[in-house]
Amino acid sequence: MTAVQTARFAESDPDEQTLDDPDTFGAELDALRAEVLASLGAQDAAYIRDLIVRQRRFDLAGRAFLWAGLFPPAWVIGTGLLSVAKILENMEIGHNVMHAQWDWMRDPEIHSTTWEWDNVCPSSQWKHTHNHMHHQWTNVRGMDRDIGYGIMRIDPEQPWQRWMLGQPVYFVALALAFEYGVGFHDVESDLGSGQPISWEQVGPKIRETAAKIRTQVMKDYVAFPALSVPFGVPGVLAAASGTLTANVVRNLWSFAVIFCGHFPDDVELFDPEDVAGETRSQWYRRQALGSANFEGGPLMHLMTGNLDFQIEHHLFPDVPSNRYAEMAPRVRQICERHGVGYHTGSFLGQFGSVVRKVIRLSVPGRKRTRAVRGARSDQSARRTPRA
Amino acid sequence: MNLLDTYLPALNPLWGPRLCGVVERVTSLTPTSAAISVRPGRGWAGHRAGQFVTLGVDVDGVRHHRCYSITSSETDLSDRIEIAVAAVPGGLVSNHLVHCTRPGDLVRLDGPSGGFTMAGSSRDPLLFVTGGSGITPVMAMLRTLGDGHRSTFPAGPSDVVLIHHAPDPVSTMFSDELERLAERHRWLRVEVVHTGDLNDDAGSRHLSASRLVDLCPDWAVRQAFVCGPESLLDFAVEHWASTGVGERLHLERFRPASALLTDESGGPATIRFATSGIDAAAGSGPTLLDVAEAAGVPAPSGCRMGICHTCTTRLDTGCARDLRDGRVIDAGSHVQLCVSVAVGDVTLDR
Repeated sequence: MTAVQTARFAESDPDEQTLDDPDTFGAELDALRAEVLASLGAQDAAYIRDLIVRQRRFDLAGRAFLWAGLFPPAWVIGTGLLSVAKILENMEIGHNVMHAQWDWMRDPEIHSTTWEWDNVCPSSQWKHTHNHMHHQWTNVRGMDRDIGYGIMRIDPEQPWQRWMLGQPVYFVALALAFEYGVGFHDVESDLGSGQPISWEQVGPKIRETAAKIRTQVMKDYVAFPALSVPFGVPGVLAAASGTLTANVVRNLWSFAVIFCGHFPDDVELFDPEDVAGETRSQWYRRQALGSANFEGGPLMHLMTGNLDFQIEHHLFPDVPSNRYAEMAPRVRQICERHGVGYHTGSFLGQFGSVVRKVIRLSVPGRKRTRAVRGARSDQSARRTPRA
Repeated sequence: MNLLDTYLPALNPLWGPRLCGVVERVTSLTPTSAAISVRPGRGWAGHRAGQFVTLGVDVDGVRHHRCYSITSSETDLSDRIEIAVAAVPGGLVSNHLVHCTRPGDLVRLDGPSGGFTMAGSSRDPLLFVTGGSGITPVMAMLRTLGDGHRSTFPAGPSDVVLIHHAPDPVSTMFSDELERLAERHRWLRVEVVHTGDLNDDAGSRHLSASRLVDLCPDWAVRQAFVCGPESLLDFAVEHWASTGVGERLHLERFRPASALLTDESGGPATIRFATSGIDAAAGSGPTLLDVAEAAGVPAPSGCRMGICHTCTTRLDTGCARDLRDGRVIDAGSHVQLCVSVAVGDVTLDR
């Protein structure tokens, strides 16, 4: 156990690596992580392999029904199947494979370095903005570009500007076209970073996203709909419109799930000075306080890619998602024992609080953001004094 | 086309972009070895007798790669290949294959490869000298000779001699079939030496110069194929060379994977970055990422704490240790450079 702590703490503060950290929060979570990783086996491998096969069959079946999408029942069934397939591919499969949750299987086809997901965002850019910037610097102002995605005021501390009046509209627009927002998020992060930006830096990323969009459009709106040519132009259009609907359904659902993860009212935000020289325990604390779960059964776990366990996911981003459900009660116990808040609620409750916040913060003022201010002062009080 | 690679494996696992095979039959050869018949998917080009296949096997969900000789005839028309596996004591993959593999299991296939074949020499008088599971590539050669090459093969009672070594009758792989082959084919003579019965001192448990002459007086004029334990190979290399017939000797070396594990207590290790062609000393940084950066190797990285996987890199040879949990990572796996150190010499795909 000591060796584990030493290695992890060494990252944040080399001088501290030989000191005993009186805060055992990180050590307990590390032990839980090690226990689960050691228990991974054939059943877990079978879970992800079977899921991938099923997802691909759903996808094919959906497109097969949409081939005859001119007939309304076929259109409805095909669109439904394809929506489910795209949600599974992006959330429980793609997102988690790219987090390296399944790298332990050493299967080059189910590996973080090779997976390219069914989304206009290139996997390489996603891994940069999401795995690195968002997961390491979760909810740190100016460092985690997922706070409002640069186009919304989610943080009451952010000064109000007039363009923010429109943010309920941006909210809906981003939800509908979420994959495109994600696709240009890495470029947006560069542009919004405050650093001087060169074309050499963003040009290749823009070209890469454009190429991925082309691939996706060819597949979804040209190649498969072209098979419906026997049904004439209306048949082709029906197939394309079903695919478009499935993409939008996936966008709306993934948007809702992701916005429930970090933006409900009681989730905390941090300043860069809070995280300077952060220890492993403090990193874990920030991840727990900066994330929110919502409640649901096995179907909810599957369809959200287990992001209804956003807290567990942020504590253990590379632990296979099918294990979050069994880890959650123990994480909650550890959090309670250490006085670390564990935010959870119903899906509609969490999403409702996000919608209210988006509307409220579209107008000036920061007085009515009591919940967030309060949580911040609690958090500073709970922080372990550093040697 | 990419779309086919996405959808076809969901319909049939053998239709994927990478070559796979499905296990059709597992036959016990001895209490600790089995013959496994595999039906390869599309893209299997066929093998030459004596070649091996690299098998990717999932044990407890984790992919492992091992090389096994193909034992089936190169002229086998059944579209199946057979390999034979002897369970190595403590061997993860060999024990799994012998004891836990079932018909229907999928294996990844790579190959065939290897130059231990009879190419150009199958009309010459032949001598096979084998020990233990070293019989496996030779089994493919004998079956191939028996299958179709009889007519073109010069007749004679001892054109092919096999000297096979095994501890005792119970642990002799293919003993029944060797007997049958020798009965059926007049050109084949099989000598099985049970080393457990020998009263020699341990150093000469395998072949000795005198026993070789006893069993095959004209050994020096034959093309010799030798496969087995290191001691047998070492003897063969030395003996054939000192007799001046080294060019007639063909060898296949099998080394258990454990023998390839680097000695942890070894001296200062070298870290080779294969893509950039840079070598660095392990001590030049606390982690592999620090070493890469100090050596000027282009190595993208992010969190430096093992969460973002930006620095994940394939470990081509050697072993590394994950500092977080002390886990040892073998060649062929990926390592997170920012939280790993080298255990002995390593080669990284950077």
